[in-house]
Amino acid sequence: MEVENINPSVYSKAKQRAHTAADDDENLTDPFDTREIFDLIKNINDPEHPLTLEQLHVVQESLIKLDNDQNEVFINFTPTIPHCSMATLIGLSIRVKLLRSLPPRFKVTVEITPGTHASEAAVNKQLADKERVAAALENQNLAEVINQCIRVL
Amino acid sequence: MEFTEQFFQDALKTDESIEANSSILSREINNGKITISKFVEQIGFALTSQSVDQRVKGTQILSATLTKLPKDFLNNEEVSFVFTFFCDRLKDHHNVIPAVIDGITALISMDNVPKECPMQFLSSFFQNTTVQSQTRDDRAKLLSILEALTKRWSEELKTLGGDFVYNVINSIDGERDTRNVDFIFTFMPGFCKTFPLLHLAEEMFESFACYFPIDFNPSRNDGRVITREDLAEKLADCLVASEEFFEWDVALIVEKLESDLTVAKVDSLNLLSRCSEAFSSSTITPYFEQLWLQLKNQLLSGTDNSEVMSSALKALLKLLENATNSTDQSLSKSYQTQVLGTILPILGDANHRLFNAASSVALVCVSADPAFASEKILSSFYLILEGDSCKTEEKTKILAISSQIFRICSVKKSLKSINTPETEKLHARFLELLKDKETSLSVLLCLQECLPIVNEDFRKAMYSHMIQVLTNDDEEVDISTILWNFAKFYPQELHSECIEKVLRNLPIFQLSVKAKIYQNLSSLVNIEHFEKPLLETLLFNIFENPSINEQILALNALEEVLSKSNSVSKLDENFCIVESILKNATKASNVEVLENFMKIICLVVKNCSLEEQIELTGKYLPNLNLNSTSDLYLTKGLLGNLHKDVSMDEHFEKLITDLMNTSLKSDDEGARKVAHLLICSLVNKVESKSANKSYIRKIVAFIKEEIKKGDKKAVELLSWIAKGLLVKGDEDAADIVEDLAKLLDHPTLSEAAVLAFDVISFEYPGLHLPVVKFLFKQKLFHIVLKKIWDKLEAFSEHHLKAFGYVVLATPHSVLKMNIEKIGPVLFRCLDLQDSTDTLRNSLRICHNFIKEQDEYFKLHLTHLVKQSLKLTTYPKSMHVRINALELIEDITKYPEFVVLPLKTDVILGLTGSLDDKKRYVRNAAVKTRNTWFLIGSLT
Repeated sequence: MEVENINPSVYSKAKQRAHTAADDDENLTDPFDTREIFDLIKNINDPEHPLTLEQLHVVQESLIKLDNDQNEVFINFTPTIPHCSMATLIGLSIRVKLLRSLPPRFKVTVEITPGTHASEAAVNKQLADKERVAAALENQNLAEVINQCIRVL
Repeated sequence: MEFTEQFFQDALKTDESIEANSSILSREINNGKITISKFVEQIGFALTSQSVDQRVKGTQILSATLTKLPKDFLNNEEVSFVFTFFCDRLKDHHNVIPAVIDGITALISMDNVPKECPMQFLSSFFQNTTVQSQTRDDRAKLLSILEALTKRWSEELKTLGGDFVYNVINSIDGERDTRNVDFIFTFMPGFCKTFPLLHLAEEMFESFACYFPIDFNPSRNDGRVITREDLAEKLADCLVASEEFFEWDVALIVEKLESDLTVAKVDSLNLLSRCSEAFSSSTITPYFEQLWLQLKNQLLSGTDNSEVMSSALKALLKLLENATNSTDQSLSKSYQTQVLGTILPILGDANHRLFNAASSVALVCVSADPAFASEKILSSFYLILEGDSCKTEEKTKILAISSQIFRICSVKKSLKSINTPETEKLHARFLELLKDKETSLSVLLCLQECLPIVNEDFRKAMYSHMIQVLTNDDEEVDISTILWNFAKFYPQELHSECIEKVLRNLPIFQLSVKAKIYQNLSSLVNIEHFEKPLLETLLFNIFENPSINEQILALNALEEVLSKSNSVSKLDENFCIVESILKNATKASNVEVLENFMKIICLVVKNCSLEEQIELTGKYLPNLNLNSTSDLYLTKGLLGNLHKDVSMDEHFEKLITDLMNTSLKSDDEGARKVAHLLICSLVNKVESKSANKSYIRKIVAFIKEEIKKGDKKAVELLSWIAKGLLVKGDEDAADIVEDLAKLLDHPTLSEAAVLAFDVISFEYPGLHLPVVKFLFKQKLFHIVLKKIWDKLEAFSEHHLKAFGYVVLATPHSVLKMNIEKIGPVLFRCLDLQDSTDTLRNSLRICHNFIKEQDEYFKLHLTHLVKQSLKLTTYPKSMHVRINALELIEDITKYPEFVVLPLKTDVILGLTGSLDDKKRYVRNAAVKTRNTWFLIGSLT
C-alpha cells in the first residue's frame, strides 16, 4: 500500500498524568475527565506510520468534550492531510477503542475537526451510523486492522 | 616379549589392538628391547602389502607408537629416517594419509628434528595432495602442523619464498568449518607478520576478505562455543595483519558500508577502527578524505541506529587519534579541519536536524585533539551566542555541549591549552547567561567542568549566584555536585565566599530553604575543610534549637551526612555525636526526634568496627534505663545493629526482663514496637548456650501464663520471640509456633494470633537479625503447614488468614512444589470477604503462578476467573480490585485455546469495573478488557 503522507510532523507526547492524593483515597470518587478520555485514545497507532495518534496530533485533549452527568462524550479528530483516506479507519478505531473502554452509559460521538478533511460530512455520517460501525466490525479483515491499531504495544 | 611377525599380525587386527599394542611397543622401544628401525622392518609386511587396508593399519601403528614415545628419545638420524618414510607414504592411497598426518604431528614435536625434514615434508605434501581435500578433522590437524612448522622453522621456511606462501594460501582458501576457520584466524595474523607476502599479499587478503562480514549463527548444541563476535574480532586481526592490506581494506570498508545490513556496517566500522590502530599515519593519510566521506554518510545521515552511530564515532575517534599520535604535527590539524569544516555549520544552528549527531562528532574531535578542536568549536559557539537571534533552547544546548567539551579537556589534562583570551571571552558570555533563570543552572553545570581555568572574578559571580540558588524559596535544585567540584579546587574560597555566608544566615531562612541547604551541603562532609562547620551547625540545631521541626530537619540532614560520609566512626570521635545524643536525649520528648536519635546511633554503630562496637556498648549501655521511653529508643539504636560477635550475655537477662516489662505493661504503641524489635534482635543474636536457652524457655513459659490470662499483648510478644528464634533456626521455635497456632481457635485471642503470624512472616525494614539460618522461610512454611493443616482442610477462617501471611513470605519455588496441597486453600482464601489483607496476599500469590502459566491453575481457570471477577467489585479496597484486574489480564498469557472459552464471560464481567469510582481501577479495567478483546482476533 502506498503511503499517502510520507513525512508527517511529529509532536512530543504529553507527560504522564500526575499522581494526586485524591487518587489514593478510597472514599473519594474520581469523576471522568477529558484527560482520562484522551489517555484512552492517545496510544492508538496510526495505520500508516509507527506513531501514535497523539504524536501526530490527530487527537488532542483540547478537542475532547465531556459531560459526565449527561453521559456524553464528544471527540474531534484531525487527519494529518485533507485527503487522508485513512480518516474513516482512524475514526472507527477511536470509536471501537472507546466502545471497549468506556462504561456503556456514555453516548460517544466521533467527528472530524471541522474544515480539516475533504469529505468531512461523509465520514462523520459513516461514523455516526451504529449499524455501519457494527457491520464494519463483523468484517474479519477490517476488524483485524482495527485491532492492530488499538493494541497497545 | 618376542616381536615376531605373528605378534604384529595380531596387533594389526582391530583398531583397539593397534592402540593397545602401540603402547607396548613404545614402552619396549623406550626400554631398548627393539629399535625403531627394527620395528619398521618388522611391520614391513604390512606397510608394503598390496592391501590398502593393511597399509593403513601398518602406518597407524607406527604413528600411534611414535605419538607415545618421549619427545627426546629419537635422534636426528632416526627422525630423518621416519620422516622420509612418511613423505614417501604421502604418494599412497588417500586412506593412508590420515595415519601419515598423525605420524607427522608426532614427529614435528620431537626435540631432534633435522631442519631439512620439514621442507621435505612440505614439498612432498603439496606435490601429492592438498589440505582442502581432507576430512574436517584431518584439515584441523594439518593446519596445526602448518602452524607448528611456521613457528619452529620460520627462518628455514622463509627461504622457500613465494612458493610456501602460495601453498599456505591454497591450504586455507575455501575452509568452511567454523572451528577450522577460527583456528586459521587465530594463527594467520602472526604468519602474515613473520613471512614476507611478496606479490601474494592481495591473494592472502582475498582469502580472508571473502569471510567479511562474518555470517554465522552458532547452533545451541555445539559444545565448544564459538560466537559470531569472536570470529569477527579474529577476522579483523587477519585483515589488519599486514600494512600492505590497507589499500584493499579501504575498498572493502567502502563496499560493505553501502550494505543495508547493520552487521555489515558495524563490522566495517570496527575494521576501520582496527586499521587506525594497526597502521601508520603515512599509510592512512592518502585515504583519509575518502574514509571521512564514508563516515560522514553514516554519521550525518540522520539515522537512529545507535549501534552504527557508536561504531562510526569510535572509528572516527581512532582515525583522528592515529593522526594525533603521528610525528607529523600538522597531520592532526589537517584531519580536524576537514571534519570540523563539515560539522561547524551544523553546530551553528541548534535547531538543525543533525545537531545532535554533529555534536557527537564534535566531542569525538575534542577527544582526539583537545586543544585544536575545542578552540575551533568554542569560538564558533561564541559567535552564535553573540548573535541576537539565539533562543534559550539553543543556549542550553550549547552550554550542555561546552560542558562536555570542558570535561573531556579536563580528563585529557589539556585544560591549560585552552586557557586563552578567547575562552575567557566565552566564559564572560556564559556569565551573562547566569542572570537568565532558565539558563543559569546550565551555566553552573558547564563552568564547573573547567574550574581551574575560570578566573577569580567569574568565580566570585558564580559564588554569589550559588548563594542565591541555595537560599531562595521557589525552586528545588540540586547543586551538590557543583559545590563538590568547587570544593575540590578552591576549598578555602568556597568556604569563605559561599558556605560560610549561607551557614551564618541559616537561622533567618524558612524550613524549606534550610532543607534545601542541608541537602546540597551534605556531600561536602567528606572534604576536610567543611566537616567542622557543617557538623557544628547541624549539632547546634539538633540540641540548641528549641523548635522541634528544626531539630527534626537537622537530624534528617545529619542522617544524610552520616550515610554519605566515608569515615563515620572518625566523625563520631571528633564531634562526640553519640555521646551528645545520649546526654541530651532525656530532654527530648518528641517521638519523631527520638526515632531520629535512634537511627543516627544505629548508623554510627553500624559503621564501627567490632572493637569499636564493644567499646561503645560497654561505655553507654550500663547507664541506660530501659524503663524510660527515651532510653529505650537509644538502646535500640545502640544494640539494634550490632555485629553478631559482640557478646551480650552479660546484659541479656536484664535487657529482656526490662523489655518484656515495656511490652506487657506499656500503652505507648511506639515504645512497644521498639521494644519488640529489640527483643527479636537480641533473642536472635544471643549465643545458643544452655544458660541463655533455659532463660528464654523460662520467659516463654511466663508469657504463656500471661496468655492464659487472656493478654493480647503477650501473644504479640511471643510472636516476636518466635520470629527471632525461627530465623536463627532454634529448635524451640517450632513449639512456640505450635502454641500460637493453637491460639487461632481461642475465643478472644484468635485475632491477635492471626496477627502473630503476620509478625513472624513479614520482613521489617528496621529489624536487624544477625544470625540467619539457611532456608528458614521454607522451614516456617513446613512447620505451619504441619501444625495447622487439619484446620486448613476444614477451611477455618482464622487459620486461613494466618496461613495467608505465611504463604506470602514463602519463596515461590517452595509453593510450587506444594501447589497441589495449598491450591484449594488459596482459592478458599479468595472467598474471605472481610479480610482485605488475606485477599491481597492470596491474589498476589495466585498472580505469581498465573504469570508463569502454571499447570495447576490452568486446570482451575474457570473457578479462578469467577472468583477474581467477583473481587473486581470488592468495595473495601481499591487495591484488591486492581490486583484482581491485573490477575485477570495476565490470564491471557495462557495459550489461546485455554482462554478463548472464557472470553465472553470476562468481557461482560468487566463492564462494571469500567465505571468504578476510582480512576486507577478504571485504568486497570480498561487495560484488562482491551487485552481480552484481542484474544483470538489477531492472527
